[in-house]
Amino acid sequence: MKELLMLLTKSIVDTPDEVQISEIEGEKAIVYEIRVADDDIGKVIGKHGRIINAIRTIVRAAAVKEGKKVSIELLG
Amino acid sequence: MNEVIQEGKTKEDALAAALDKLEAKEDEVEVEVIDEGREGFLGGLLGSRNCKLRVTLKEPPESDKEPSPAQIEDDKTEETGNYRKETSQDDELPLPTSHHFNMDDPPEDQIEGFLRQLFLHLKVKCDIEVNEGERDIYVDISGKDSGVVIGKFGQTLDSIQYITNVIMGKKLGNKKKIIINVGDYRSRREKSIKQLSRNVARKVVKSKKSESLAPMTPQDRRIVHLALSNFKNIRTSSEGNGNNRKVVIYFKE
Repeated sequence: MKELLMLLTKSIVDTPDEVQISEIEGEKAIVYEIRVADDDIGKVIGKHGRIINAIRTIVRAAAVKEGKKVSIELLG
Repeated sequence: MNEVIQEGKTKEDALAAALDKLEAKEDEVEVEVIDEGREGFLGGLLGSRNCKLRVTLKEPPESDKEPSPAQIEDDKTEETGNYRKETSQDDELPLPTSHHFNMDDPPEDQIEGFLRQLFLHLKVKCDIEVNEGERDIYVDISGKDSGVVIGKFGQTLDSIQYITNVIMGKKLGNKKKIIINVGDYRSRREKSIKQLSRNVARKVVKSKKSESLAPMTPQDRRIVHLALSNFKNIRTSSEGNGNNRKVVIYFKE
């Protein structure tokens, strides 16, 4: 799932090299924290958060198979 | 023997039997479903049909059956490096981390390449077909895992379509909209939305009181407006903001 998130985030930003994702795994849930270059934050969020929400939906679809809850945070 | 046609009660049975005959592993073959088969009634006593597969051996790798040095190396690290598995399950799959689209590839190939990677990560097996139309690019997805791709109320499908448009718009700078369809999902959905809106419209004509539908995406609202544009004594309008925008059906003398 981390790779999936990485693929999506890197495809969207202008400077893929600065994308960092950390993973905090609990018993039932996984939290992913995304860090991107300052100029790219807006691109990852999108208008009215549409892009970050689409990313959340897609990653959650992958998480269904693993039976875990996933939350994705973008750190500025 | 490079190809075998095998029947079985289920796809899994048929595939296992075929792999036995070919003496191959699952990742060494191409599987084509000739007949999906049917379960039938009464535990398969009535009307059941076997599943039929055509299983073809893929082109053998250059170094034939001998495992290549790289593979041996891999096996070793698997044995000694067990702790890696615990820290990251994703290591089990050989996933590409960087995207290697060639900028010179035609847009269809780049879209297909991106979606293939996406589905690989989602662990769904799907066939992808890309066709370029005059104004839009159509992507058709089919396969047994297509339910995962659609998601609840088509949410996942809409998200995948949106992301693909954003990414490909950036990469290709193309203005054509990419429309992703899974099987006949969108046409079925269009049908049921039309049905629903006609039912509500009839109710409105009867009661002469306006009714509002549930919030919908712009695409879905468009279907409602079009379906009711020629409906007698009915006027439609979209009201509300953002995610709460919905169609209201009014009675008109």
